[in-house]
Amino acid sequence: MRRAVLLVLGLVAIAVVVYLLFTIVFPWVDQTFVSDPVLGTPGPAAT
Amino acid sequence: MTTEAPPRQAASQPPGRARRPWGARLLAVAGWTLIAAGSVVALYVVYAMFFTDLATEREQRALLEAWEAGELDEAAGPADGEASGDEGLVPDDPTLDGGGGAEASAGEVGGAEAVALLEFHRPGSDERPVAASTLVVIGGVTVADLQRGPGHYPDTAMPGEDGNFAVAGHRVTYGRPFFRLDEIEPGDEIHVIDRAGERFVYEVASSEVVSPHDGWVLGEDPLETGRPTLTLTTCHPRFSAAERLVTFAELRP
Repeated sequence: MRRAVLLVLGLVAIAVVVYLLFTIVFPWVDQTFVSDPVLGTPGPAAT
Repeated sequence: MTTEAPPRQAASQPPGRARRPWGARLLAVAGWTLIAAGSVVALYVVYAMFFTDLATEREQRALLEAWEAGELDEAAGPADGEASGDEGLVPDDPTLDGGGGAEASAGEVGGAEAVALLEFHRPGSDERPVAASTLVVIGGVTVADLQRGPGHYPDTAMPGEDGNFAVAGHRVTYGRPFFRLDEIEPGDEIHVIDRAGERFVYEVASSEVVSPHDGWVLGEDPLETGRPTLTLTTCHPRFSAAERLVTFAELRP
């Protein structure tokens, strides 16, 4: 029983981490370091 | 008959598992850390190469279909049917901010107008440099705008007008419309079709790599020839925002 709970909690934690990566971390990394085609206002200031 | 109590350490651990030495435990922690880091990098590759493309390609397809059907005003918002408020592709409303800013996810973009179509041609050849398909140019170059496709710098000229029609596009994410911009050659043609359906043919003059701060490329006449100019900008090198790759083309008389 305890093992099952731990398994579910672990999967939920992984899902939360992946969600945060895809919605916050990766877009920021992408815009800051990888892919900003706009001239004159590099980085997040392009917004 | 007497029984001996098991050692204390053995009672607190599963049978057959001895306590590992510090060196081995450290190695295990380092191993799991590397596995986690590798997983994050692999997830980023999936994000950059596939995840961001999904919504952009869907959006571009929807915009192109709406453009061809003359129904652009109804094609606003995400193409997956999610409600997007009253954000629409209103031709006379030059919305410069897609509304989402840096926080907008690929599925939440919408709002700026589509200003033109871009096609790349190589004279005397069936090959189409840069992009095999027609690209819909969005009005504006905010993060949200560029998630939908190439974006028109708002303070620059419109297609065919005197001045500089400047367009920015992603190179490695969000549909990567300018992934192959480095393959364009002088003499290649860039066809721009405006909202009225008029086609303007620009001939590629040159390409160069500049600093992100080199705003002169967006000036009225960056080539100083006095002719209407089309300027395309994207990041350079691929997978880096350290520099910008810029391609200049001039309107054919």
